Amino acid sequence: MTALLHWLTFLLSIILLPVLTLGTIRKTKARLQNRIGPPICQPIYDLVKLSRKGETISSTMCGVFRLSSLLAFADILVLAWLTPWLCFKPWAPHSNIFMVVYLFAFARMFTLLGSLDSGSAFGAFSASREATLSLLVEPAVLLALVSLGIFFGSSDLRVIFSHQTNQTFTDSAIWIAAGLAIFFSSLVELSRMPVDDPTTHLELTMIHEAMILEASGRNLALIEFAHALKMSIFFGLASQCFLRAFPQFNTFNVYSQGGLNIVGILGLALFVGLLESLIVKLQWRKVPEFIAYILSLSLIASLAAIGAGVIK
Amino acid sequence: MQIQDMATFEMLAVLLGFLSLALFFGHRKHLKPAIPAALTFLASLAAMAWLILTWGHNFHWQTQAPFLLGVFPLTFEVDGLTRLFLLLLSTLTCAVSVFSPSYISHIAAKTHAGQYWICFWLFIVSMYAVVSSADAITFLVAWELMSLASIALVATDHSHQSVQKSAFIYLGATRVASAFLAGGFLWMHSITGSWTFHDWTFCIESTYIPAFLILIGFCIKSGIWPFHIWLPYAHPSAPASVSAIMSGFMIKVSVYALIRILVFGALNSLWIIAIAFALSVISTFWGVLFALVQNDLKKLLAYSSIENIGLVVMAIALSLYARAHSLPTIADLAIIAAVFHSWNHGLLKCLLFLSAGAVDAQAHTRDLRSLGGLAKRMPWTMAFFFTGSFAICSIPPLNGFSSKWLLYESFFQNILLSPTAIEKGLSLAVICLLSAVGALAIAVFVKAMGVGFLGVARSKSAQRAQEAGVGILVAQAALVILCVASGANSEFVCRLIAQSLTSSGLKVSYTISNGLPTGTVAILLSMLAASIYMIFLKTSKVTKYRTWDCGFGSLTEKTQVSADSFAQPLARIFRPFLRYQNSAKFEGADRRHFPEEVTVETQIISILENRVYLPALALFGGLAKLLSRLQAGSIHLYLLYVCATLCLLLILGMTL
Amino acid sequence: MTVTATEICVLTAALLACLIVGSLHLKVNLWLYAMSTLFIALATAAAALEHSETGLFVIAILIALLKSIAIPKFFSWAIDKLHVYRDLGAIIAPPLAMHAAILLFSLSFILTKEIPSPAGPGNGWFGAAGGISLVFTGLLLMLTRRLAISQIFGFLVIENGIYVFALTQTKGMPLMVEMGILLDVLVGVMVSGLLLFKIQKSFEHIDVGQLTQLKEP
Repeated sequence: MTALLHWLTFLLSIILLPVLTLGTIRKTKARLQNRIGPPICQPIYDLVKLSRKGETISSTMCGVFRLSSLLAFADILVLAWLTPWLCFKPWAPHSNIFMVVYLFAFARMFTLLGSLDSGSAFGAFSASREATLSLLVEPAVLLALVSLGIFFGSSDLRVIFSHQTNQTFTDSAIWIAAGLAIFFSSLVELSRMPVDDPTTHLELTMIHEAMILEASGRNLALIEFAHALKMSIFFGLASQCFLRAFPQFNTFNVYSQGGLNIVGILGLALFVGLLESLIVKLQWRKVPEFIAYILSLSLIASLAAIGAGVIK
Repeated sequence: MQIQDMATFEMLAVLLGFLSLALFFGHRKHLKPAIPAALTFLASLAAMAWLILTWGHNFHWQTQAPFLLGVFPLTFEVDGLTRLFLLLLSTLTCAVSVFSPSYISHIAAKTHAGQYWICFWLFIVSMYAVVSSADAITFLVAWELMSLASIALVATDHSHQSVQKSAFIYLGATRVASAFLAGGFLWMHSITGSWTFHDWTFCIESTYIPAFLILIGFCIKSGIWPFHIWLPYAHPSAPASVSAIMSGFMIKVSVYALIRILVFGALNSLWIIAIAFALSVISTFWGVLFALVQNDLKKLLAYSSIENIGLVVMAIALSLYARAHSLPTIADLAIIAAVFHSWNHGLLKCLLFLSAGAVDAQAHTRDLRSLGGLAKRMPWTMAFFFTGSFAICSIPPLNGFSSKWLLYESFFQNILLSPTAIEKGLSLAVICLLSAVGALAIAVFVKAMGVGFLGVARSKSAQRAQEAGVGILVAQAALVILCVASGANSEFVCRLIAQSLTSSGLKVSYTISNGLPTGTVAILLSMLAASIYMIFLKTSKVTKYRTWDCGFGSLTEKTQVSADSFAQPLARIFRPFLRYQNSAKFEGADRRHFPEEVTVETQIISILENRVYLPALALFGGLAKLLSRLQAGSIHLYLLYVCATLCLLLILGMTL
Repeated sequence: MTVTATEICVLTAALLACLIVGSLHLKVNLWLYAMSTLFIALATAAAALEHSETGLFVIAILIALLKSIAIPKFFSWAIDKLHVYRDLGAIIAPPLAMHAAILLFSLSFILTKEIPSPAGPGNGWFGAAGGISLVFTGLLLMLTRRLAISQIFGFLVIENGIYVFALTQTKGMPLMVEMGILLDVLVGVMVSGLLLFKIQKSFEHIDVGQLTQLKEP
């Protein structure tokens, strides 16, 4: 019975959490702009509307375009199954750090190909930019996860995220540094504000939106949902890092841990909304500088983890 | 009959068979390619069957009296490690021989068929020989044969100036490599008094210099930075069937030999390991960086080979290091990673070169600037090329990932287990670099796939391309199946490699308790994708319309992204390494708003070639000019030389 | 292994100093420098608590007021006057320089491990590492910048490093000496600030890289 309940909650959170995360960001931004804004569940309605519409695709395209969004979506679903982004997952598969990072690369590679399929210059230029960004941010993501791996002595995220943290200063510091690095690099990976403006309407400045410019109808619904799910996965990992920095977190039971986890994800979404209202999009040439700071965070976290290991 | 006699007999049979084939085919300029290809296929199949049937047995042959080389017998040995590499070779030759008939007919006008096939056979037989040789003499003889045959194959289309240049550069590289190897081997012989690889160990200080010579020799031949110059010349010039074998197997022969000689010989000099490590790290990065800015599809693949060989040598260096510091788990992981990655890269590079060959044969160009839109005309080739690209970008669940993961994991374990902070930090830096290289590789292959196959054709010849012949497709399909299978069963392959290495004398155990769930991920991924497609996407109503053009209309093939412009943002970041220059010129009365003519030029200068190799060559050229004064053409002068030398020798002989 | 509050503050200051190297914006540099110095003031206060010395409290307050408020304010004013907001960068790109600074930060731990410390084994190691790292960072900053004003920032970071090293290794110098040094720094900064204006006026730039033109042909 409890197993069934676990399953149900997990499936529900896979469906609902991405939507709520996106909704929270939009609502926060609207409130900060003195608007009432759409309801938090608006992304659901959008998805339903999109799935009722027909698709229009470019006559230049071959099958790669539709296949790419399909496979990217399936891949993100597999990642949701694989990574411990929620602490109440009904089963815990072996999720290796490097495998997770390369599965994210799988989704990205298909998105890039899909954007090149139409022969549109917009899609291609944004693909080229996305490839550049991914080059810069991939070491940051990997090192953030590796720093946790080094500290807890395993390359398995399942082991890392079920570790009972001790009451030491270094534990908390590494959790927080890694969490910050994961969170900020997720902003780059998800094409959020300081790097890319998700609400922009000028094709020349878009990155992610220009890549999916040709998508419509159900195809677009898949892409949008995959993107939101990817966001929840990243925020889930980051929020768990922040929560586990407090040693008290381990003493709670599964339900309150899960509740805190969800609150953490939505809290990060709130923070993103706040951030996007306060700061402006960086000039394209300044983006590497921003990512360099994220990489520094990961670097500090991993060097601290190594240092802690040496001193121990 | 004894096994020795049998082996001798077989050698005789192979030699006779070869001679008769040479006599029969050698002089024919025009030849139906199906016959020699079928012969190659059957022979490779027989070799593969033999290798699989006798799995687990070690063979040791020594040639008897009439078949000696001077006073030395030729010694061959087939053990676990050899078997793994020979199996790869026979698989690749099978695929290539299926590929060849329809491919060769496309380039028939430019080639002398008999010459091509004789060189091809010689090339393959010599590779079998070099991998199974057990002593230095046999190795060197087979190695020279292999090098010379491959040079002849690179020069197949020798009417072109560029091909001649490539063959000469390659010739030079192989000569230098052989010189280093011969020096190292002779030195080792004088130290140990034996030609057999089994007797060579590199644990004492006097063996370090020969070890270094051997390392450099193999680095040159496998295309490690800074000796990689020949590779991007030789691979594009050779026919696709040859470059597939060259990149798929020939550069792995050096890897095999490094493992056989240095790893089995337990090299423990930190300096040499550090040099190998540094060179491999640089070539990984360098290879992928230059691959990014290439426009020739085969040149791009050649640079990607440099990257992957760098990864393999990196794994070997890590394994040597860990063994020298008695960290056996890491040493085992790394050596398995090296062998596994050689296997994977062999399969993948062969597949990709065959695809590139198919594109070349059908679209009559390999230049990404005039390709495009092949997806609709060559869907199967596209599918195979895409799978290969995904695998070589090490995307799970394909095989490229499994071996790269082993490499990652061994560096990760090195962080956990190695005693000092400096080593931990270095391993961390390498992990960081590997992930950046991985992301760059993705950019490289997305460029190759997206610009080469997707969008609209950029030239007339690409527009007229047709799907390649059945043989070409079957060969690629077989390789794709192998890639997917070995990716999904990576656990099994790793155990197999560990077992083979152990049986050939290096104690290796595969100790990962819970391996990667690649198989599960593959099944889950395909099931999810299929079900979503059936439920959600298949029923969707699809209308076709123009690509979004902002309402301006008139999108042409010129408005698409070009190979150069796709790589530009990344290349800009690495300007200092690439010497990348992008200049744009606008002309016309109102240049700012309505330019009449826009010219954009991208330029990359290879510092290594212009600053190091060309001056060095010029120096050697000058020295050679000095020496050539000796050659005056007068017989009297030559007689004087002979006389003078004789006198000198006599005087020396008397005084000593 | 316990870490004292002083050491945490010192390490945070050193890390913040590393981040200075990553940006070419002079105002950002200044802000990060102020934050870093504030943490050094906090470290001094914590050290004062640990050793219960009132003299250190005075120094902490002086550092907070002078070095983390007055000097940044002065330079902020100077930047506005000079109309130079961005450095040009030299030798290596600032992001890479920042990563190098972080690597030097961790290297300084290895370097200072063997320093014999007065206050018993294990104590003072992190503080010394922070000090050395600050010196390294300052040098790197001076190395990778071209404007004269950034050279002064680098110098200030080095000065912070030396101070931190002294603080953590000797429990601080006497009050009078410290105040003298602070005064020296303040005067030095003022003089160099005035020099900046002079250089700008006579050469119309403050690019140190162009000093090579002064070389005799």
